[in-house]
Amino acid sequence: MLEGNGAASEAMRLARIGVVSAYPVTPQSPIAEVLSDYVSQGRLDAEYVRVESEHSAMSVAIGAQLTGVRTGTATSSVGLALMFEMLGVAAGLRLPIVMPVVNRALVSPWSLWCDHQDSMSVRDSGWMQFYAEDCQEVLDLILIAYKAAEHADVLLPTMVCMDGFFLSHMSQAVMVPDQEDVDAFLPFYEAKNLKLDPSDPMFINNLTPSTEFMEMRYQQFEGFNNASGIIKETMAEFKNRFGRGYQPVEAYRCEDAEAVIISLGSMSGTVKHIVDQYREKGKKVGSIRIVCFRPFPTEDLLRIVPENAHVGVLDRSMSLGAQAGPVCMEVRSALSERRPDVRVQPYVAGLGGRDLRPVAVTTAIDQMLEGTFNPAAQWLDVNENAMTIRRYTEVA
Amino acid sequence: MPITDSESGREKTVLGPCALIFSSAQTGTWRDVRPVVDQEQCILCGICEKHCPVDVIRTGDKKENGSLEIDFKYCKGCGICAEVCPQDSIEMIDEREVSGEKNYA
Repeated sequence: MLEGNGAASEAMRLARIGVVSAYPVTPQSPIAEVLSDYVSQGRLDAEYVRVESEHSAMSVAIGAQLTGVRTGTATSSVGLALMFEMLGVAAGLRLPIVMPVVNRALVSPWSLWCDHQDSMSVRDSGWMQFYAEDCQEVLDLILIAYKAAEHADVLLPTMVCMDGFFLSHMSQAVMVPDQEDVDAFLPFYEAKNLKLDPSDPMFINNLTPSTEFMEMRYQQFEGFNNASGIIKETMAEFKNRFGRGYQPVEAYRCEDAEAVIISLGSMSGTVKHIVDQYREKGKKVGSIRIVCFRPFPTEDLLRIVPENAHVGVLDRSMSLGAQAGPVCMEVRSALSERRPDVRVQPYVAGLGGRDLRPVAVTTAIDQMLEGTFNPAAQWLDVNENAMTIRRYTEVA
Repeated sequence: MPITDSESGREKTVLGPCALIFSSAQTGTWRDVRPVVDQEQCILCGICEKHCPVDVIRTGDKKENGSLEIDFKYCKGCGICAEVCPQDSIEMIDEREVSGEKNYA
C-alpha cells in the first residue's frame, strides 16, 4: 500500500536519482521526507541537499543535472510559485528534470488543499505536464516522464501532477516494479545536451541577444512537437515491459456519446463512476481524461470526441477574467476550427479542496443532455450565498 | 551552435543558451542607420575614433592601412562620428539599404 507521495518517492528511487534537492511544503512534504530517509538508510545512492527555499531547490536541481546526473525534486502550490523563475531556466537549458507537483490551491485565500491553479499557472513555462488519476499512475508516469523527457529529440523538463490529499495522502495498492526491470527501461542517465565540465569550461545561460533568442524558443517548440510522438512510444514500451498501458488522452465509454465530460487527474474517477450510472439508465454519456496536458494532445482529442457531442470541461482552476478555465480554453482551441459539430461548455469545480461531489458532475451532464449551453464558465456546487458568506454586523 | 567534443573530436550541436567563448551581446543589431565612410575624403585625423562612445572605430596609419575601420558588430549607429567629422566624409544611411530588412541576420 502506498500513498501518492510514497508512489512518487518509490519512482524516484527506482529512477536512481543522484541528487535530491527538495524543500518541504504541504502536501508534498512526505516526498522530501521519504527521499531523505532513503538516502540516510542507504537505499538511494544520492546526494541530499537541504535547501532553504523552492527557488534554491530548483536551482540546485538545475546545477546538478547540468553536471550529468539525474535529479529529483518535488513541490506544491506556493512552492511552485517561488520556483517560477527557475522553471524557465530548467526548460530553456533543456534539462529533463522530472518533478512531482502535488496540486494545491494558490493564495489567497490560504489553502492547503487541492486544485490545479498552481500547475496551470506554469503551463506555458516550457515543462511537459502529466496528470495522474491514481497512485499507480503517479509511479508509472514518473518513470515514463524520465524516459520521454530524456529522449534526445525532446529534452524537456516534466511535471507529474497529482491531486493534493486526494492522491498524495490516499493509500492504494501500488505495483512497485523490480529495480532491474526499471534499469532496463530507464538506463543510466547521460547528458545529451549542455554539460558542465571543469576540464572543458563553457558559459551557460549567457545573455542572449534578439538575434538568437527566438531561435532558442523555436528549439523548445520543436521539442514539444517531437514529444507528442515520443511520449506515445514511451507509453507503449512501458506497457510491453510492465503491462500497464497509458495514452496521452483516455476515452471512456465515448462511443456514440451525446454528452462528454473532460477532466484531469483524480476527478476522472468520480466522472467515470457517474458515467456508468448514466449508461445503466441508457443515457449516452462518456468521459475523456487528459493525461498529458503539455504537450496538449490535440490530434488525439480531435479523433476521440464523438460526433455532434456536447462537451463539458471540468476545470479545477479558473482563468480569472477569461471566459473559461485553462483546460477548457485549450479544448476549445483544439476543436474550434476542425470540429464545428461540437459545443464546448466550460465548468469550474472543486477549488481549494472542495470535493467533486457527484451532484456537481450530474448537474453538468444534465445541462448538457438538455441542450443548455452557456459560453461562459458555469461554477458547479458553489454555495448560493457566495457573495455574503462573511457578513458582519458593525459594532458602533 | 556547433561545438567540438574534446574526446571524439566530432562536432555536435547543442540546444539552448551556451557559449564557449565569452562575448558581449552584438549591439550592432540595434542599429538602424549606418555610418558609411568616404575613404577618399577621410584624412584619418582620428577625431571620430576619440568621440565614438562604444570605441568601435579604428584609424590605422595611413601608410599601412589607408582606411577607417568600423566594427559593425557593435556600432549602434549613433551618428556622433558623422557629426564630428571635419571633412564631412561620414554619411549616415538607412541600415536596410545595406542589410535588407533583416539587419540581424
